[in-house]
Amino acid sequence: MLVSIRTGLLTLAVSAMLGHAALLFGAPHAVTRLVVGRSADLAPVNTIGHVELPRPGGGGIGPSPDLLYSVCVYDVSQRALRVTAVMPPSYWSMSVYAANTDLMGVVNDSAAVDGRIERVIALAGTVPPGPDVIQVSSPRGLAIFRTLVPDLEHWQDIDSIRRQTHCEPVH
Amino acid sequence: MRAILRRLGLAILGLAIGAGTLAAWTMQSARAQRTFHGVWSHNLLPGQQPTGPYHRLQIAMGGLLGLPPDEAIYLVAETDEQGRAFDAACRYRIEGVPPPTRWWSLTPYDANSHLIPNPGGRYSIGSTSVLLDVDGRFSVTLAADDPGALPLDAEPGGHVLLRLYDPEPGLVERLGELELPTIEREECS
Repeated sequence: MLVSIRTGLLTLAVSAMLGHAALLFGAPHAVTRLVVGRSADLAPVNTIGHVELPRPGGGGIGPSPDLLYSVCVYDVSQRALRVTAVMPPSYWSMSVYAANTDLMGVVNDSAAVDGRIERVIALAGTVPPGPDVIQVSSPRGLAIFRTLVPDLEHWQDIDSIRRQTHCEPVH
Repeated sequence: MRAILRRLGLAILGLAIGAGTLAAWTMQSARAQRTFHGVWSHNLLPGQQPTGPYHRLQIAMGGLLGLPPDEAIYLVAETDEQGRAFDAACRYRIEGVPPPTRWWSLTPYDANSHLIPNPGGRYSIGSTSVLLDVDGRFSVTLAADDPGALPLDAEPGGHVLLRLYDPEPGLVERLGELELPTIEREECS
């Protein structure tokens, strides 16, 4: 009887620790996989996908109705990824996240040169560091782009500019 | 067979306890990572660099895919100035001055953080759309069933999000000194 109780308590304790560890280390990756999975519906890996202007009933949690969102699910396990973007006449930013949700880097339009931004996303240690390189800690993750639409009546003008953003493997 | 089933049941219970208590702690501690300024609360988690796995979990559950405060500051109001939750039977007046940031917006959401339908097509106001009076102040109505106002959800639990993008350097440390918008309840039907 005592053996049975002890075994039962041990089973409970060990499985509680496993449950704790599974959530602790697994949840950030699971959450990113969920977002990546939805983003992959927009466009294949290492290409950019564009979301329509957020409106009620359009899905998403807490999107801004003034921003055009674009997403690039990246896989830099084989090659680095080059992102090139033409800047709109308004706020623009790119934020890059690793598979465990860690923020790897942010850049906005104030860093543009001649109306363009170009960055390389690469797995840490595979390319020399530099001001235009965003080193990531995992081979897969995602980059989120936010483009402000200052005049919603002419949002298509901003949309046509943001569709000139590309993410593609470096050759 | 019964012993195996018993042990399996205990294992499942243990997994649930282990994960459940951690989830509850994480949500509680993530919610505590806020500063309060009038009706506005500032979530400190978005864009933070994790200091360990517990911190990472807090960020994933409480600040997922957010921007750091030198890029964007997110402030949430869930009540009016008297601490009352928003009520669809009432109208509210949001007043203030433009914050010192390159772009800002005020957007109401329902309890699930979804945008609220509005036949008037107005879902937010901000620096590119707001009208200022002669004193440089703005005033906007928040109400349900009013196409000219910012929409208020018919169900309880809604909130208003104030976004500050590309803020002045160090603004997040000075939030307590800023004049942030006030939200006053007006008439209720």
